[in-house]
Amino acid sequence: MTRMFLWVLCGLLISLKGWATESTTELFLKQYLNQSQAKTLWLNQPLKQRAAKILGHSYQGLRVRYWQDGARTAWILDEIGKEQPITTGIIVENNKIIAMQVLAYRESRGGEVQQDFFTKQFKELSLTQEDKLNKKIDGITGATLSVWALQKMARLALLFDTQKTAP
Amino acid sequence: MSKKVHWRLIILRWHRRIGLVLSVFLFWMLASGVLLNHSDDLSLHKRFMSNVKLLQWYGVAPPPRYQVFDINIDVTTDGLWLGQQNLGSCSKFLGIATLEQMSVIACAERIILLSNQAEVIDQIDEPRGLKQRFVAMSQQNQIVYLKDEHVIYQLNLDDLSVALVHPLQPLTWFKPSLPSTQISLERVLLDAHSGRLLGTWGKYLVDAFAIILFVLLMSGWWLAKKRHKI
Repeated sequence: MTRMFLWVLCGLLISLKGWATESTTELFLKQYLNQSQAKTLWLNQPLKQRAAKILGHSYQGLRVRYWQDGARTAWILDEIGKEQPITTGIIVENNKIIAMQVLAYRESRGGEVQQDFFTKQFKELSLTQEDKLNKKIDGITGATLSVWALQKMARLALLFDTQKTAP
Repeated sequence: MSKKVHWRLIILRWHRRIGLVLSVFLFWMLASGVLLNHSDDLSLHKRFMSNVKLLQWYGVAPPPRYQVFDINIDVTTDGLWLGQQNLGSCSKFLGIATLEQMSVIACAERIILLSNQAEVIDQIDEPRGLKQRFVAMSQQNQIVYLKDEHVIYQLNLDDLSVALVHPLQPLTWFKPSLPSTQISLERVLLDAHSGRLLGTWGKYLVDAFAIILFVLLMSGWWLAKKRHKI
């Protein structure tokens, strides 16, 4: 019995070690993509203009890194809430958001946007012809700027997904 | 024969004097208040003070500042600033490598690729898959080298990945610098508005002005009342 307990404990420690060395992004990608392939999307002028319209300022970068597994893509995007960039991972499939997760939150206020009850609202959302989300997102008092930042990133991921290359 | 005291005249005289002195204070409060009210529109939180004396007043050293294609790069505890863009955290600035068609900025936890127009082409950090934490950067011709605590890497500019390398010649490493606190114009205005810019006693001074302003209001109200009675 004691030996069995020790074996279980060893197994648990090994899996915990593996989990601890993996970054939040790796865990996020692993959760939603089976065999992801890292790709790069270069932003052309029309795409830059649409991105700038969504963000209210120009997109910070001329190319975007993303991961693809068949029709499913993963986007890691940054947007400033009030003062600091919020890093968010967004999974898109068939022009719809499958999952969204805040990977790094650096602002001093508004951390509630990291909670599942908020990010779940983005599930199944798609982009309208005006590059807006097709459903209203309920805000959080005291986290307005972070909520806006996440909405912008969701719209941006859906926009970029339309430009992905064939798997 | 006792002289009659004309309270109204005395109060009017003092009301005028106090009003004159307070006008300077009120003007400052009005101006700073209006500016703070539009802080976001004017991006006051993104405008940083470079005046050495003012920074010394706050007890902070001026943050390391570099230039790339005429745009300032400030290394602060709030992040790495390219002009007015916050590019993200930079716990240790490792340097700028200027190449033929682009530049590479490296921090301990982030690599940024800039075009010749100082536009961000791409960047990589831990959330985007960077696993190393670098301690120094070097450049030899058009090749950028980075090293962590143990080994040296060569940077691939196409995808910002790094590969282990054993350079044949010894490399000269850029001198890293640590970030410093930035003082924004918004912070200075807030401190000046509340009186904290003058230290602990500053806020009591503003309190005193507020009390005097109250006296001015009361005396003005009393004078107006008396005048209507005549």
